[in-house]
Amino acid sequence: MNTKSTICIIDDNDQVIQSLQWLTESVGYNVKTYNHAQAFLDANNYDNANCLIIDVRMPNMSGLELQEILQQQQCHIPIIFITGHGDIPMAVRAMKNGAVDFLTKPVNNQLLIETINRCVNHDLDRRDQNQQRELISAKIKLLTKRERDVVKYVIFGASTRMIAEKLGISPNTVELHRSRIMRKMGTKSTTKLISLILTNNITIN
Amino acid sequence: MDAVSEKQSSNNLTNLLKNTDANWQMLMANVPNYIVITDRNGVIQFINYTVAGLDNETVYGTFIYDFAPEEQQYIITDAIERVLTTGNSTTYEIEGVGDQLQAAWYFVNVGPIKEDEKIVGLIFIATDVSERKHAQQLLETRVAQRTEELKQKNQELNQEITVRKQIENALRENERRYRTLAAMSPVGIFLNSANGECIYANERCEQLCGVPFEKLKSFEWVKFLHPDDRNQVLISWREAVNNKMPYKAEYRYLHPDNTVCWVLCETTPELDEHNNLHGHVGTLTDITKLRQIQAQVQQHQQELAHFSRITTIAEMASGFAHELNQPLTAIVHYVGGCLTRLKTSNITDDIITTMQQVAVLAERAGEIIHRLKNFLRNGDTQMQPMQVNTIIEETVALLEPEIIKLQINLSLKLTDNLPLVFVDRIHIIQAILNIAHNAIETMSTLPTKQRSLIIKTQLNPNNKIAISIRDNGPGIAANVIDKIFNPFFSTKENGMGMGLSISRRIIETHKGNIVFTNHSQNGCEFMLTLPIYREENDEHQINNLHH
Repeated sequence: MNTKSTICIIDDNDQVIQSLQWLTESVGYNVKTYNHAQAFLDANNYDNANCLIIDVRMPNMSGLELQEILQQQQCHIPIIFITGHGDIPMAVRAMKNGAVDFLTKPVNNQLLIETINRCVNHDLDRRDQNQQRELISAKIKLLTKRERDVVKYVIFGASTRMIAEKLGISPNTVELHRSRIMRKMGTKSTTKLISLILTNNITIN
Repeated sequence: MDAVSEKQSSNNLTNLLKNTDANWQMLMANVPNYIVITDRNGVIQFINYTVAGLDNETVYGTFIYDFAPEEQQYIITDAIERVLTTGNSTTYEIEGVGDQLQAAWYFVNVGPIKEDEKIVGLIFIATDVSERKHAQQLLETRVAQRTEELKQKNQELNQEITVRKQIENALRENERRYRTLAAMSPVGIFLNSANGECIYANERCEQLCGVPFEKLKSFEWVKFLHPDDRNQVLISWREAVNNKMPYKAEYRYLHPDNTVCWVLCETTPELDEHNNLHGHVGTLTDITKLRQIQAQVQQHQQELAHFSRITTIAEMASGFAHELNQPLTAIVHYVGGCLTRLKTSNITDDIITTMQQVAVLAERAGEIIHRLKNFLRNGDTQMQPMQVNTIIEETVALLEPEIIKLQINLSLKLTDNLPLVFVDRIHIIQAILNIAHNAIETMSTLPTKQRSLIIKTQLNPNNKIAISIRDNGPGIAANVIDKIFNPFFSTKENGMGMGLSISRRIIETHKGNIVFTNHSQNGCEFMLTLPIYREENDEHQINNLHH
């Protein structure tokens, strides 16, 4: 369990907020609370939140409306909806918009904590991935134009000879490029390089 | 002495007679008659005296008829002619001038004066008969008057007879008309005798009872009363007959082909001047259709009332559930937090077990509330594609009593040919009714002229069907704007605070939306929007819901 992970609770009922805070803090999470949707948006503290617990029905801006706004802002923090009015169409709408879970009040503590843990792990993975991708992107930016050309062929599984032919340079030069690429990217094998680039869904220009 | 005087007078008379000419003249001057002697031609030779203003000398030599009115002169000439031809006297009556020159009538005797059997002259003796004539004339006038009167009476009688004849004709014509009317009337018309026997029934009656008059007459009509209504009809009818009262009832006839016909029967007793019952005139009106409509409306009202109770209970339960759910949720999570903390400390197991028990109980309470809410929410809905205007019309029919009672000026502005909506009819009616009831109620304190309710339907630019309900009341106070949709919130003293909450629930269940606007001039407008019906989507969704 990552004790530094942060949960944001957004609910208009103070008692519910406090009890949820009491519960989630007991299992080691940092908790931030907001008693309406706009307060959360105004805080603009997305980077530090690993999971959002949102009440569906709130005055002014509902939980579902908040979810839509966050999507527009490209904020992908996992959301757990809790509601006293859980009904099917509402759940369907929330799920379509990518909410991880839709729980009905009062939520079983165990279930809630497990759901939070799953969401937090998911978020951490996502953040790791993002971090890695950013790292790889940054490394790719260090490559020269020629080196990037070579990488494009390497991804397709082309041999040194084929690359040399396509680029009109000697196989020795290609080999030189490849070893520089490996060093700059911090990988030891071609296979590792390919998987790094493809799994992180990185395009090379 | 006496003898002497007697002798003297006798002598005098004798002398008088002797002196014929003098005696003649005296006689002539004293007789009350005019005595005239003329020649054969009527030329006056002698007259004993004349009327005032004339003297004998001037008269002599004139014609006797010159003294008669011109148009009567022929009477005299005729008389003269008669005397001359027959030699006998004759008489005539003629108008002339009286001694005081007044108009007078004379009876005249004309005779011949003969000399040697030859008529040489004529003697006229005229007697003034004015009085008699006058009396006669009076009599004649009276007779004439009487005759005239009689004539007139006769004429009047004749006229009366003509008028009577005309009236008779008119009556006959009227009767013919009434018969035709009775025969052709869209209303059944019948006559019953004083004791209730049917003695006449028009064609329409026969249709309504389902059998020809032959089968209705006397007391036969009773047979065709619907068995379920028969006793009641007979009892109440008998009562009306006994009390000589008008009768009015709605009941059924059962035709031989088992068709049921609802009628409104109204009768009036025919009483003579002594208040004796002559019979009854009655009408039958077909109210089968009306009954069906009434039954439908009643059914709708019952459905609505039922639905209204259910939704009210559901909404209340839902409100309670929500209110209870929040503290329950808090309890569950507080306990959860405690448990986690307890497990890492040195607290004994039985406290932990007890705390776990608390959490379990709180959760179970929550489950019970949810089961209740689901049970109440999943009342059978009957979704169908419908014209929103049809729903509005049904709603208005249900509002009518209130609108009439409070004299609300209702105007419907319904857009024709709107796309269909996919709804549960009763639910939407309920949603609109709740809002309309509020609207009408807020206007009850206004002067009647200002009480206006506008219900509008239209297609909104966002492609949703909008129903707008606008009143002319004081609008919604700023301090309650946030609360009006909350369950248990009401501005009315005895309000449950469920109405708008239910309306919102219903509209949201239909994937619609409900908003309101306070208009600056006056009044408040609620707008309900509903998505338009898309065959594939909606039917599909229903199927999903049922699974």
